[in-house]
Amino acid sequence: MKEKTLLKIALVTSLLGLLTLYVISDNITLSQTSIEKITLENKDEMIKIKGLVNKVIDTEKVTIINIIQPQEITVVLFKEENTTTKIKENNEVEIIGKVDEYEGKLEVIAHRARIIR
Amino acid sequence: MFLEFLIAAFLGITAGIFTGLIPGIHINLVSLLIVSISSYMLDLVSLPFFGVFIIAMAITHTFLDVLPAIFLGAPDADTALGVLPGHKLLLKGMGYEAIKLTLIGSLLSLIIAVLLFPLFIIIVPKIYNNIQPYIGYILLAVVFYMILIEKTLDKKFWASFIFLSAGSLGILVLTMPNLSQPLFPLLSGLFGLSMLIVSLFQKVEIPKQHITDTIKIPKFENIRALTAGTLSGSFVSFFPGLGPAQAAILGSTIMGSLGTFTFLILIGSINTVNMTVSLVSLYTINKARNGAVLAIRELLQTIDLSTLILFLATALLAGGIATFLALYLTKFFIKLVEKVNYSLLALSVIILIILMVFYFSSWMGLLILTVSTAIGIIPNIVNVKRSHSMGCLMLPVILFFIL
Repeated sequence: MKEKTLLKIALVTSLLGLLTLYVISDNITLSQTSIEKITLENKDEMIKIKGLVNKVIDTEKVTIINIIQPQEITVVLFKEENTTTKIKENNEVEIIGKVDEYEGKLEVIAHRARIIR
Repeated sequence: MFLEFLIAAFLGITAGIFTGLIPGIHINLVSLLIVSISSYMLDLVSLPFFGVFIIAMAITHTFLDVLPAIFLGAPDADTALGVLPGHKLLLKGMGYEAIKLTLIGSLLSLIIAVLLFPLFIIIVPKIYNNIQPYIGYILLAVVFYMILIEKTLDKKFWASFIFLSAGSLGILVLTMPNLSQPLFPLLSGLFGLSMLIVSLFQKVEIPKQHITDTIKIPKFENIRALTAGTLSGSFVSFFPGLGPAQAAILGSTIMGSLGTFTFLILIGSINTVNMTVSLVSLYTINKARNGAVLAIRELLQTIDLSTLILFLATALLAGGIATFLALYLTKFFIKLVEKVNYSLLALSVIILIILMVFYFSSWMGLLILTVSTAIGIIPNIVNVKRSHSMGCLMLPVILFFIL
């Protein structure tokens, strides 16, 4: 294959990639979710929530926190996945995690937790 | 979001230039770094930003990592088998053509893999479930075949000896606790340092390199190499412990003897396909088969169809740009090897590899480098295929599947 042909294919490939990237970008969002909008239909979906911590239960392997927005939801942080975050009551936090159901109640299994203040 | 992803792609491509060109700086290392800093950056960017960055870096890396492998004799696991044919062309003044051939393989197979992704989505889970129990035996058959095709009994003996020595060393190194970057000293010794030392003793002179466009490969041969690359590259991306090196052996075994030119297309093809299809494996069976995809899974947990398409689009964008970059950078490498005395260059690369091995893996790394270099020199002395040294990765994988 001639170099020119290779470069032409490369150019078309990158333009095609760029165009697809442009079209698909709008479908990729992990925008902030309001707790009141989380339902069973969101189970196993990744969501991002922000809120105020009003309760922290610390066990050996997990930290369970309640977040209010003012609606409330329980967030479970597995310590082996979140080694650096030490969340306390009244912290404002941002959680990225997966929606789960435990004993009939919705909760979030945190994948990332960050203290905002 | 578009602008955010575009920035991520260009940053990833830039990172891929560094990881591709600097021996020892692997994408896994950067991917891990990205995972560890991601939580501090989530206020500025979204999670898929990091995925786009990693994919752009990984794809660019697969286009560029042949440059140090061919020009400096410093390969990584993915390019180890391409060193010899690439170096052969370099010694004929055709280093540029050698790189161009791997780029043809990389770019065309990237396009094929992206076009075939709906099919992959259907077949990956089926293949994974049905073939997994037999993969060890398939690889064992490939090893026997590789040894049996050596022409004389004497060569068959040496091929077995090299395979088992490299394999035993591989098992030792890969199970060694607290050893950072175990593959770097292992592969640098078996494929890089050994070749550079042999070149030094043979007083190899790198001839003037010509930027030509003369190699013509019959369409059928092109198709054969791309088919072998796409099939074997995607096949190994479904299974743990298998990588482009095993794919190259599988591909060339399945397709029969491939010439130097077609083999280089195969090598380029496999690396890129492997990275692209491993994204489909993540989507369909939620399995991460290399460090970069593992980092993406760490960050995103699972990916949906839109995210998969986003990543494939990123791969296309990065692949196209990386082709331009690779051709441009090859011209730079050519000037480098032409201006500098080859013995001096080889010696400098030897020292660089030794220093990097010491930096990454300390004294134990140097010991591994010494032993692997000794094993790596044997194929030259007894005149058998260097690919038997791939036992360092194949034997541990075979034992993993069979035992």
